[in-house]
Amino acid sequence: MNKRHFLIAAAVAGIAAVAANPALAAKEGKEKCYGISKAGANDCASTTGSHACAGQSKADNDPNEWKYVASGTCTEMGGSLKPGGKN
Amino acid sequence: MPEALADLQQRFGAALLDPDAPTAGLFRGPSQHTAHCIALYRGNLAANWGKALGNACPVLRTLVGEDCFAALARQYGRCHAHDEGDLNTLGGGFASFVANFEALAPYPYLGDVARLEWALHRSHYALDAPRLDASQLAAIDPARIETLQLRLHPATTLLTSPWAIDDIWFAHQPAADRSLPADPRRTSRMVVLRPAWRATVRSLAAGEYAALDALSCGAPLGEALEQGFDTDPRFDPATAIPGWLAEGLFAAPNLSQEN
Repeated sequence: MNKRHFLIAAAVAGIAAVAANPALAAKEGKEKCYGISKAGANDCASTTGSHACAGQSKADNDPNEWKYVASGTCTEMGGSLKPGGKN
Repeated sequence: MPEALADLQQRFGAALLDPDAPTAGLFRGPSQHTAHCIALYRGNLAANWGKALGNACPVLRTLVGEDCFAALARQYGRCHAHDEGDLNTLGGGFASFVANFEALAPYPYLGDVARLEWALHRSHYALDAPRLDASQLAAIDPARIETLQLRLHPATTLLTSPWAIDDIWFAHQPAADRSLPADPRRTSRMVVLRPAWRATVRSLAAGEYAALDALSCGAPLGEALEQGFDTDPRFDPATAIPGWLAEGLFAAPNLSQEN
């Protein structure tokens, strides 16, 4: 169990180092909380313009096959892939 | 005799989700007017789904593009009845939906990107439970450290993927310090955490992941550290544990149960 003892000793040393220097640990929690709120999905207030709710007056069109074609940044990576990492 | 209100509501609800459902008589006026009205309702519903899912998965939206994401959101919304008023919980099944979506098969990492983003979304809204800190650990008899069991904080989630989803995620952040991988085939291990107020991601080496994974499954600290070391001898508890404490990865022990 030498390995286990060595690991526990390292753990205890790590704990003691932080406990002896609480300022180090406390610093993290003092970050100012300005601007951290994430726009909630339930917020009706518009972030984009005058309409209160998303998609107002946006009529539904039946989905077209071409809309399922990915056209964003994923097209910049690796070409066609298969799950499991083999191509 | 007019249709009973309950039946009308049922038919209206069905027509919202199924574009082939009969719409006659749902609204007063000529049938074209009815078709136009129901299309507006459907459009608004789909837009709300798209907004809610896009709020949770902005990187996935950028990866597939706006049109594809909107179509995915609509398809997901139609197939997954959401019985809660809270749209923030809409995407619980979105990652597996994306992973199994046939048209996205050429991009098999997208499902795991969605899984990572959903973990971040849940982390953001997780309970602000008290964290385990160094003084609590230092107060424990060193002889008991080996058998200590720790609980992950509610805002902490461990993830692993056969794809480089951490690099992909970081490449899409405003202060991107990593670029998109040319080839996403690389096993990634990471922790989603909320050290102060913001949920974020940290990539993990194999040893640290193994130790944290063991702890999250309830293994005592001694055993978990050994699993970390056996996975990678470079794993060092003396540096890892202070990091875990500073990041608040673990919940404070429930003292009433400990005694």
